Amino acid sequence: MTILTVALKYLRGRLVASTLTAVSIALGVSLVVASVLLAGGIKEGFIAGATDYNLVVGAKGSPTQLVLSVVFRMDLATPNIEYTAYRDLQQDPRVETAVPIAVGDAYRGFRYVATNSAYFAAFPWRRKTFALAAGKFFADDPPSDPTYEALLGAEAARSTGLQIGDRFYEGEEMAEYPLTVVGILRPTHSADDRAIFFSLPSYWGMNEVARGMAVKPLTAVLIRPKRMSDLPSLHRALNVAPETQAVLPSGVLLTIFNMMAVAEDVLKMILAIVGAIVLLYVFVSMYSATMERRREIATMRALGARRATVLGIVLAESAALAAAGGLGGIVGGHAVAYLARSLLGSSGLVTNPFLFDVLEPAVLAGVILLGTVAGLLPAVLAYRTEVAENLAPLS
Amino acid sequence: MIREFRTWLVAGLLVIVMPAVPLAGSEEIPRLTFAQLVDSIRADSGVTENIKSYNGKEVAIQGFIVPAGPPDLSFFLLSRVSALGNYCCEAPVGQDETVYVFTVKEVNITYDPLRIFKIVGVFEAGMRADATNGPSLFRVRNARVEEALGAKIFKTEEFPAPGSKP
Repeated sequence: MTILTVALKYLRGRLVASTLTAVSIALGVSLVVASVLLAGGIKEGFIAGATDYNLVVGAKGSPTQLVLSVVFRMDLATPNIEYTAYRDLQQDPRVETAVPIAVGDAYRGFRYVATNSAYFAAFPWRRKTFALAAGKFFADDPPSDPTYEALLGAEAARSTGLQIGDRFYEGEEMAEYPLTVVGILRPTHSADDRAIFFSLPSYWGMNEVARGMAVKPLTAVLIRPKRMSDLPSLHRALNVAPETQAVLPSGVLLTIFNMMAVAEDVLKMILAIVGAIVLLYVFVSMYSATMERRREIATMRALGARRATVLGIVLAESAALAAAGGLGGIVGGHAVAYLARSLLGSSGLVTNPFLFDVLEPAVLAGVILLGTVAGLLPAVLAYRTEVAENLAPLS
Repeated sequence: MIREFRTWLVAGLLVIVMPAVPLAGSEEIPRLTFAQLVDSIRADSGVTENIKSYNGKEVAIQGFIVPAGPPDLSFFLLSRVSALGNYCCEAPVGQDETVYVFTVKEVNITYDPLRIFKIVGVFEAGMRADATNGPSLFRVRNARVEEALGAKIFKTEEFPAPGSKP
């Protein structure tokens, strides 16, 4: 019999206690793994979903609200700006591409995004590509003759069950202006998957206030400059103007990441405390098991087992418990991240719970090492067990 | 016994001293200033041979980060003035005082638009256009981002008061 076989036999001998110890290790490890996966996943989701445009121009107010509402559709829309702001930017010699956006209202929680065909155009500098899964893109219709054609993001189409040719509206006041599905997009793994796109004239036609306005409203304009070095001057000019603000979307996201980093630091402290509690639990479990087995250990010693063998058995027990708990924790952590993804998915963030981090083998090795360390004192106690003392008659 | 002790002593000293060697080397990286970049510009977006002599070499430049690219900062602009302070202190600069910075991997820094960062990477001068980021005059590739140490603190008698005559 090897040291490991004896250790496993001991673990099986007190199955309930061993299982509870392994489960507590697994819970601690899964908490760490899930936290790391989700924190990283949220950040990756923000990075992957970031716009390819370098500047977002909207009404004065919160830069974070502007970016979250226009790019990630996670906040209410900022107040409107005038359509003339878009026309002016289109004619600005520093601007390569300007894309108008109007957001507001939703169908079953999937935000309406009014824009024009430029939003979906492929440019050499764009990472994101839009492709049709079915149907066609909506037409760039004239303001006098809105078509009310809708293009659905992949997730919006899947969740609502809308198909090509279906007509839909939400709210009594919209019954007169139903939208017709003309196309469905392939997944882009961004907030666009959860959007319902249509033309600006359709948006203005559906809106009672906008119908009567001489200068039509917009929420924002996405800007791509001809030269990146013109960004600061564009940014400054649009911010100094009385009605608009210009925001670098990456700047807003980096500020959000800074805030997340503070939360991550707090989380790390909590996880360290959880780790210490789990280690303590392993120690207590192994200590009580060793104390209960003093007589058995003395018998083994009397039958010729060396002190080092006894030490090895207790350490192998701790290591086996830690290995089982560590492996279970890694699997459990991914499972928790998978469950959390569905919750985060509704906020437009994308995470990949199946992403295997290169650090996970190191986490497992660390758990086994720490588990073994937690069993060190009980192992030393077992090592020092005196045969004569512990084999004395019980009564 | 003594020989063994000596071997361990030498090994120990090496372990202590070795990490300091690359640090000493990094101090020799030449630092370019935005003033040098502006002075190097000639007609038709040409640059002087002097500034071109730094091409392909590792240099350090300090400035404000303008997050013009993706939020992982794999690409950003380094500017002499902060882009995001709307009312302070100077008008935004253009091509001549902007460096296009490319990093190999995601940059993990506490981003602050009003803080000066030090960029160390391989320098390139001369007009070049690429499909993703457009035309640029100065570039730093394989860059790493470090927090810049503050400027020297002057004593009041060493430094003239603003607006005072020399």
